[in-house]
Amino acid sequence: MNYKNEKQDNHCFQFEPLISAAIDGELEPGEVNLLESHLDDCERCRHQYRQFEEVNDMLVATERQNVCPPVRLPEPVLLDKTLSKTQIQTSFRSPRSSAAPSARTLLAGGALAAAGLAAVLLTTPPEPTTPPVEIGDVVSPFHRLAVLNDQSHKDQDSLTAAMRMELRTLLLETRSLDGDENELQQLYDKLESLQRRLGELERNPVSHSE
Amino acid sequence: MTSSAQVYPRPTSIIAALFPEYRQRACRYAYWMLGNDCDAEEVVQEAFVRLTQRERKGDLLECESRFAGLLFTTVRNLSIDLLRKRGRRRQVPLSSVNEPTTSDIDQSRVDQLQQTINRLIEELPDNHAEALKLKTSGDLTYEQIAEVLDCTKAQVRTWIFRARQQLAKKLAEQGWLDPYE
Ligand SMILES: [Zn+2]
Repeated sequence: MNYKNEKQDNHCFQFEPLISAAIDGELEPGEVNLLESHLDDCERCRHQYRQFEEVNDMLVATERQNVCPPVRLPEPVLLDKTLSKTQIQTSFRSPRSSAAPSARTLLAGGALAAAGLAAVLLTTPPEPTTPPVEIGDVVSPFHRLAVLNDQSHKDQDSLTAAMRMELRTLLLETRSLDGDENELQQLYDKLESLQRRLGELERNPVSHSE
Repeated sequence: MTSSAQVYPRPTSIIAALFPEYRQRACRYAYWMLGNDCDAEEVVQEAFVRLTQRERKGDLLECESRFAGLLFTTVRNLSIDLLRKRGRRRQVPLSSVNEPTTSDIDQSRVDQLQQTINRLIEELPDNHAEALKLKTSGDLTYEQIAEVLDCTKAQVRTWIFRARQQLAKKLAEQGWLDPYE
């Protein structure tokens, strides 16, 4: 018994990388049989296999499953729904608030940012052969923001966070638009100044009820 | 009759279609790189926006595999840029911020394990740690990981194996795994 184990130990190290690859489903066709037949008569490598599997289970179990909440496919309603929750706080908190953000708060911020992106993705043209994006397409997210303003004007944090997201994507969009250069430059400058003002607003928020 | 479902255009770009599924995975990886939720979320948003723009310019991401590789490459580059800007290296949070589970799992033990694992991953060589996280957080194939880390598939395989080997050894030493008799 001991003799057999010692003899196997000498070449078991060749099989250990295969065990790891097997767990990831990344063995080459020829390696599958090779590993299987070794595992059949090597207790040590079977133990190694179980151990690697356990390590994997631990990694998966301790992986944060809830960094961002699941989000539905982009739909215009998503943005409205997310922001109409009056309790929502965002990850872009004003520097005045001293409380540490709870995981839940951060998640809410995540959903919000996702909603912003959802609005951008929505305007993606289906084919590369379609005419270039019109400025109107790109600016349309603001229409929804106007609606939001009615719905949740009390929640300034939510609104500024959403605007920040929209602005950032609009700035990027503007850069890639085709059209009259001067016109585009003006649009870009306007957006940039809006972004600056929004930044100032976030740094020095209009005082909330403390 | 046209159904009301036709009112809004359905996302036809591959990015829009894959966005919900990949966002979570990309966020987990970015969170590991950056150490906090806000930064992770921002970086992932930025990566998606950049890929969307590439797609609009006609640079088609013809398949999901290509998209996954590009997404994680972009997330990784943006994370590295952000860390550099802040003069820090990769920052792994040692404290758990998981929501308490309602199941019968002992949460304090899960937290303890999480801290142990985070610390052990920190002790790994960078290549090994990154390859492992791209596997466990990103659920990428070896080929995709090779693309992100700009190395060969064989290297990825070796790095992930080395990472598992060291983790198993340390976890056994600390009593989390049964050692081989
Ligand atoms: Zn063996």
